[in-house]
Amino acid sequence: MHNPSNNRTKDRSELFVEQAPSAIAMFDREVRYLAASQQWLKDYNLEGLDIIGKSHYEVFENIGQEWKDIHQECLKGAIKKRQEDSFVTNEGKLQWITWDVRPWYTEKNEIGGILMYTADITPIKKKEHLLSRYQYLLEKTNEVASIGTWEVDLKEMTVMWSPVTRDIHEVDDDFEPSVEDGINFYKKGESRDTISKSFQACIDKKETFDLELEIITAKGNHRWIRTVGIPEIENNQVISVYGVFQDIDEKTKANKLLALQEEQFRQTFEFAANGMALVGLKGEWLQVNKSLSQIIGYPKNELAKLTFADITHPEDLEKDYSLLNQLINGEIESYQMEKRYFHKKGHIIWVLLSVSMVKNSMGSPSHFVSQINNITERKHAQFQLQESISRLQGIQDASTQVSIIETDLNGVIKSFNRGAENLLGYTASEMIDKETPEIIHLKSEVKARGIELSEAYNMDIQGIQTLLYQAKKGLYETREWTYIRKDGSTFPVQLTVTAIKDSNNEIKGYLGIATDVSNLKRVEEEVKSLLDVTQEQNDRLLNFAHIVSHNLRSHSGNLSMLTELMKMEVPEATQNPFFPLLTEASENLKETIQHLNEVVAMSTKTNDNLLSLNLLEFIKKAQTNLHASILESRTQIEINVPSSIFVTAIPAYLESIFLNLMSNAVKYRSPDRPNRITIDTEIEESFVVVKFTDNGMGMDMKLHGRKLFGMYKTFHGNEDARGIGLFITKNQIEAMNGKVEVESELNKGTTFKVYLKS
Amino acid sequence: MKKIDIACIIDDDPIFVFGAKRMMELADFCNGFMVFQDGRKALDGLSAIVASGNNLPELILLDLNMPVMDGWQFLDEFTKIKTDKKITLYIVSSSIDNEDFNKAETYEVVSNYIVKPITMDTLKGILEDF
Repeated sequence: MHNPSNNRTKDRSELFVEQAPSAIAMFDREVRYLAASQQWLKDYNLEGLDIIGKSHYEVFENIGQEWKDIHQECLKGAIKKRQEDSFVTNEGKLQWITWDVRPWYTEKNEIGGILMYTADITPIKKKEHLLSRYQYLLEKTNEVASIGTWEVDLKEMTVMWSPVTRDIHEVDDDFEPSVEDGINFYKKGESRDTISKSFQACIDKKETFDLELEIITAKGNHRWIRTVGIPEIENNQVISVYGVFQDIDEKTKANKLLALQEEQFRQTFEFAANGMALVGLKGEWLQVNKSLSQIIGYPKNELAKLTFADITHPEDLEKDYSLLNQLINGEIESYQMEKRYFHKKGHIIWVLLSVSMVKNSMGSPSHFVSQINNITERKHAQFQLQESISRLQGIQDASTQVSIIETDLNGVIKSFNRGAENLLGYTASEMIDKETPEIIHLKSEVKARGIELSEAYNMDIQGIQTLLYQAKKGLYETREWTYIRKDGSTFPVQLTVTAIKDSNNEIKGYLGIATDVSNLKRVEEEVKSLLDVTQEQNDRLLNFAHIVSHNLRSHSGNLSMLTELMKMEVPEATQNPFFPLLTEASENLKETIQHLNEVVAMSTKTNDNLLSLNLLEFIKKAQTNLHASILESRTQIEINVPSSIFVTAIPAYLESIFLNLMSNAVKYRSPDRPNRITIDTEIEESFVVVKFTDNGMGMDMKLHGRKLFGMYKTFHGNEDARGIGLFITKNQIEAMNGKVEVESELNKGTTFKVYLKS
Repeated sequence: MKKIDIACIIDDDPIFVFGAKRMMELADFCNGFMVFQDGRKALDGLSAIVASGNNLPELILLDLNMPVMDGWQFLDEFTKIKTDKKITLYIVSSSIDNEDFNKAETYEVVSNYIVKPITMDTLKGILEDF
């Protein structure tokens, strides 16, 4: 296939191609291999294959049409190259190459074929990619850290500034500085001299520099910066200087911070819960906040026309002034005082005032800062507290016969009043902080109570806890105890222990108040023995009642039986004048025993039998029982009692009372006029008042009033007078929680008013 | 009006026993008497009569307050004696205590409670009830 006419030339060309250090291949016009370098064979995995004379398209079957087109164009004289091109290898990897395809010419200047040159640049591309990423990261980092970069190309004498560097210089984004421009930004004098010298030294002596200098920005601001310069050396020559540029002037940031702080202060000042004010040296209100304006009731604009002295209570003014002077003279740094302002409406406002002084830059006083808290409520509470404390103290001191002992949570005595000293013989100083109340208690009593409490609460309670536990549980415990005096003698007390709580309802200690009950105990003993005597007498009375009831009655019964027998068996005896007397004596005895029996029975009955009874029904019953004597005496009875009235009474008593009153009215009728009884009722508070009015003989109340309801008192000459009847009536009425009153006039009549519970 | 065969008086008061007997005789109340001074003697006597098959009294007048065995104790024992004969029993006492009245009502065997003294009218009343 070789063209013999070109043999020598070809040989030399082929040798050149084969030995070239790059991947080169030479093709004829049919794109058949004429020669290929070792590198070509290596790069395309063709080592050991005989490709010379074979078509390129035969060797690379997958070769694309675009390549074939390129080859054809080159065969027509075009030169095609690409700095970077990628293709996917047979193995599927991305491969970067740089290539060059061009024709080669024969001696006759005809196109003999094409030359192909390729170089694998895949590793380079990878590094490049990494570099670009680093570059990007660096830029971002610098931007965030306010670090700029710069570079001076010494060959071209050009200057490159990064955006941050431009920012720091406060120049426009499109500003293109010269080396001279860059130097001139530095402040004339030390800064500019230093940078000039250092830059020159960097170029001449390859010295790196790192400086902190002052520049004046394009907008005229002074600014401290840090600049670092590094020489780039090529062939032992500095070809450029590059470095970083950083704003180290805190002012920019500080200014921003200050503005923020000022705003925060303004907000805090204005909306603070407590009153705040800036006060001038003459006491004028420079600035006040909303709270202060509310506390003292003046709108801000009105307050601006006043000084603090105008609204301060005169009694507090002197102290305020004196403290202010000390502040101005530097004797104190701040002061606090409780003082009074006059509210715009005239009332007094108590405040807690805190004042500090602000100095100007020259160190002399500028103004005051006042914080004002409204403590009016607290003050009032304090006054009340003081009042109650002094009252309490008064009570404690006045209680010379009452022991008042206060303890802490553990029972240690914290106060010991005069009464305790008097009663117990210890002094307060002997007890306070030294003893617990156990020392004044009988051990055996405390122990016994401890056992009771332990059982009640199902836990071990002993010692001082025995005295405190109930109070701790929130109970007021009042018990009798025995106190032991310092001299060992004892006396009974009634002790109440309570818990002392603070405003949060937490127990802070205990208070034991004890009174000496010796006298009380003695009286109690006396009452008890009196009660015993009474009980005994009562028992004896009951016993007596039995004797009356049974024995006397038997004898009296025998007497009546015997007189009756005598009447039948010895009729002539009745003619004897003694006989009627004997009979009457027997009857009187019987009646007396009957009455005595009633009296005794009454004192032993209880109130348990009280029932609600219809009043009219019981009055009618008495009327029925006395029917015979009413008819006989021609007594007219008028009953004005509604059937709706009920009274609380014992039935037997009620019956007996009405019977007694009605029979009395019949018995003691006047011989001079027709007998008349009127029964009325009226309601008086919780009582039903039953009025028995008659027009009978009446009584002299002056003479008999006091004795009227006494036992065995009769006032009329009447033979069957039953003085005991009224006694029983009165007692029965009183046993039912009622009362009886009487009005009477001799020869006019009598009115009994019976008060019964409704 | 019926006449009682034998009336029995259980009472420790000799005056009452004397008076009662006289009244009964005057009123032609019964054919014969049986008198015991206390509950124990009465119980023993009546038990012996039952045992011997002799005539028991038709009527018993029982006092409450007696020595040895009182009226209540007698009643408790007497109710245990088994007999076909109908016996009418009256309590005759000077006690007017409600407790005694109420207690008497709890004994089925007690026909009535008479408060002393007894009178001719009382005796007539008893006979009418017979």
